[in-house]
Amino acid sequence: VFSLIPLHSAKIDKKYKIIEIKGGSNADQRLSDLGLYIGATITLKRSSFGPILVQVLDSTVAIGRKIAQKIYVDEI
Amino acid sequence: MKKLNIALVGNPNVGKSTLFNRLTGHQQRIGNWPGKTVEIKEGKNKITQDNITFIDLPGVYSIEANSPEEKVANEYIEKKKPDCIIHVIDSTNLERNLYLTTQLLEKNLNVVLALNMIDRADRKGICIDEKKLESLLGVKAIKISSKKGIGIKELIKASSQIDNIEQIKKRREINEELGLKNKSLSPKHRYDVISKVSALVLKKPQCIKSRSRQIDKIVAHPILGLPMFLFIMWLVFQASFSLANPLTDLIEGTFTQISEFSTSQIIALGLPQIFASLISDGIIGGVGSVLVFLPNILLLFFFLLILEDSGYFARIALIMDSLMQKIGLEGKAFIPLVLGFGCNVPAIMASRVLDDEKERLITILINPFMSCSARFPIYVLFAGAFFAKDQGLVILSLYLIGIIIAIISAFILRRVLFKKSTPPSLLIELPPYRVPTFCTIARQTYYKGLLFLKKAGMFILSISLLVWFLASMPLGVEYASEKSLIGTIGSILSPALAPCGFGEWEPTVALIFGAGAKEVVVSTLGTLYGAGEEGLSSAITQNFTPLSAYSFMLFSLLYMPCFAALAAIRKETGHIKWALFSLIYTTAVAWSVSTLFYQLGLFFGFN
Repeated sequence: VFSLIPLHSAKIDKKYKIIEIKGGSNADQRLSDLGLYIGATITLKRSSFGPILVQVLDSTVAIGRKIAQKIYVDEI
Repeated sequence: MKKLNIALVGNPNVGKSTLFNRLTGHQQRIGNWPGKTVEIKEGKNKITQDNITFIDLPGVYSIEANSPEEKVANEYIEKKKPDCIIHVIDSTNLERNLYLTTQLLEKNLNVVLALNMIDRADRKGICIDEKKLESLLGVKAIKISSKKGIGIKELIKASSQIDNIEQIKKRREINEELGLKNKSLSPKHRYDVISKVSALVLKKPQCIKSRSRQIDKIVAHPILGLPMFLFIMWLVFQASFSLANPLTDLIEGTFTQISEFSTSQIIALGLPQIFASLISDGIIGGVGSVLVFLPNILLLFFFLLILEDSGYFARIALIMDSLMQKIGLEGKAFIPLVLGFGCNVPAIMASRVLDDEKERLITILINPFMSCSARFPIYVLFAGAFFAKDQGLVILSLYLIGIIIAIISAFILRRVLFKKSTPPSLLIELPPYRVPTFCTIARQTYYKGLLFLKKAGMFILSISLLVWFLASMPLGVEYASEKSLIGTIGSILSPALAPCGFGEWEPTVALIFGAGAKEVVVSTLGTLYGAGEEGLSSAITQNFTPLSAYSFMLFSLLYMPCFAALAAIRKETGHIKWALFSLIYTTAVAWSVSTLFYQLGLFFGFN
């Protein structure tokens, strides 16, 4: 059973898996170019104010809130 | 031996430009203007000479999506069909970088993987078995460090060996085995292939310490980041200012001496007075008054390059995103704006980093308000003459006004031109901070210096001579008087600028010629008011008041972009109407702001 939550409301420093990405295919492609594809493991690093920061593979990516709201994750 | 074309492909921030410099050394052809890899650069190697041409393509994450940079890279690969592609990879982030590799492999190209920054990877305890990687992917892989010069020879050797039919066949088999044959593979499928491969070749410690994240806690802090950015920019301007001063004085002194010496020689030789005027007013007064600022301009470029190469620019996008969203842009749009402090031409081209077309158009149109280094001499001259004590502060205020006008313009453009669209959301990688390579920065600064000298020697010199000629005509007229040809032209047009506070013909003429290149504002004033910067400075104190001087600086800051920038606007928007729009809009803004400032100033009793 999944307990899907949007990325920006995930907990800091916990590992999550991307389950669903809503929205256009363009955003989809941009995200996967940076390693954020459905099935990817990510760690949220900042979600306080402004864009959120996530760690994916060995890089840090800044994601605007509007996109972050469309990324649904599940805790691992 | 067959001539080879070898293209460099890779993600942004993997050290591609540094490698390109390593490979091509001094034999690199400079583009039309200084800047990032916004255009395709070509170069040859010292040892292999004409046999190999290296091509530096823009940094991309993918060659399938549709950003302009990705299109450039993809089209080059598809149409020019380079003999070999060197895929530059950041070894500290192998898996993400291999994503682009899978796309290159699908196209069945002759690829050599350059595992760059191998020294960094070693330090972090990351271990890559490149032989295994070679056999799994069916391509050559060479460990290199472009910064330290490790593995470069091996890389050139590997990339200049063309695969024979056997090898191509084998490569195709491996691709099929990996399942990298189908062009419409899902990202998940590709990353699955990558994780299978990396499980066999990559060993890395469980937890990699990241110094960048520690730095970002302060530098990219959601709230502290903004004042930090302003402080850094202030530091950049202050440093390029005060560090250059001794050199500036030296150049100035030399020019004064040359001027005096040549005048005395001409008189001694009994040549007509007009030759003395040609040298001291026309050439030294014009070109000399601009060349004096060469150290300032080079230092400004030098510091901006350091900021760019260190990885700070991506943080600027992050810091500015919240503010930029309010005016209908995303944080990334701020990067071309900062580049505009150097030169608007590459900055306008760098707007290609933006995916959204409307956003790109707005960013291009507001870029001319970012004060480029060509306008710097105007501020130094006027602020030095009138506000010597607060010179730094006065100059900073102009930069800030430029930013504010740009922001207001973006807000209006978004409302008027693109009513219904919402601003795109930020999505950017924060690359690890890196200490920039001194050689790369020094070389780029050197090229910018060369370009500046070329501009001074050709364009500014010709305009100065033209101005001098027009100021000496008709024959027998007092030099640079109102009755001279140029004085007559200026006098006709100057009433239009009277409300701004500088209705004399000299500044009018300077602004007209300055439309060609902004440095010409200073060189023209130099030619008209007399030789040398010192002479110019005192001439300006006699012809302006503090109020009109600031108003003149405002006008110079805001009015029409130079010809090169207008051409860039036309090219990047694909339509001349946007260049014309920019010309009219910026000049209207300049006139209104200067007039408002001057009239309000008068009203409140300033002078």
